[in-house]
Amino acid sequence: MEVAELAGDESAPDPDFTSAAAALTVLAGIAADAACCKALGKRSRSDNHHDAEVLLRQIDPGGREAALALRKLISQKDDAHYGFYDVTASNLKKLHRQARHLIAFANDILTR
Amino acid sequence: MNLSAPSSILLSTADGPILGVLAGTTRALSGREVARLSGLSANGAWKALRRLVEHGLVSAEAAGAGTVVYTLNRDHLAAQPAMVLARLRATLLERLRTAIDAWHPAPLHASLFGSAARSDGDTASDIDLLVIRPRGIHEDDPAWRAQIESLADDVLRWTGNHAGIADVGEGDLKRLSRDRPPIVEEVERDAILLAGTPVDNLFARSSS
Repeated sequence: MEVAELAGDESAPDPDFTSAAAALTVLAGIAADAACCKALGKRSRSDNHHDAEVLLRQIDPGGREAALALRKLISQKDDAHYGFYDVTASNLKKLHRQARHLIAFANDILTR
Repeated sequence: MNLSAPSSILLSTADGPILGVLAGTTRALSGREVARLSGLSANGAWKALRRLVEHGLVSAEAAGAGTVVYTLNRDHLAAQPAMVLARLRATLLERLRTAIDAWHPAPLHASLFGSAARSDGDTASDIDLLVIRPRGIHEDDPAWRAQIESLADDVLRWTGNHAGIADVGEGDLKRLSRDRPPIVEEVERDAILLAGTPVDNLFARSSS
């Protein structure tokens, strides 16, 4: 996440780095998901990141919200990849917010 | 499920396409026509047809000059489930359209694109949907988000495949029309309309 934030400064994103920053943000969010699956004793080993949503949703409390954050993060990453939307400063901020939510959730699970 | 061959969930790779072809017409077809329309080899189609005729699900009749023609026996006990299986893809499109028709706020446009639209995916492929959010509706609008999440959940339950929903604002159409990233051409070429503005008018409309 730190690398993602370094690569994409929300206040003044460099167009050359925003796509990379978006991809790194998603990876940060997905890594958080792997950590939080501690609660279930397993993590998604699928190539499809959406499969992790299903696992996340099984964690209680907070799993449903985390799964929605992950879905949104993946969706935004896909949209940016396809070129459906520009990774602007505000979009990058949203990506960071979703990833931070997942990381905070993972930290919470690890300390439960 | 594999949307390029949905019936393969329960039928063999030969039976599924053949029953799909025969369920789509009441005209009697020669073995050669069945093979061509189902994308099977003549030998593969003939073997499957012989077995289906043996079970009575397919009727075979001599049509002169050594030609045999085949029809689906719609009175057979297994005909109804076979036709349901042959229409799984159409059923998915119907369900998607029904679900999106009930949306408030309604999308400016919704379509199926990607491998699901092209029929070249597999069981692991996401089902890609493009939804254009009308101007004035924020992407975090609770009612709008609830519709998107509900549709993604429905698609997963209906098919076992994840939905990849591209939620694009109407305001982005102008940029997409101008810049035309490769995805625009892909959508224009492959997308199957589910609701709202036809694909052909979607990107051109905003550039004018």
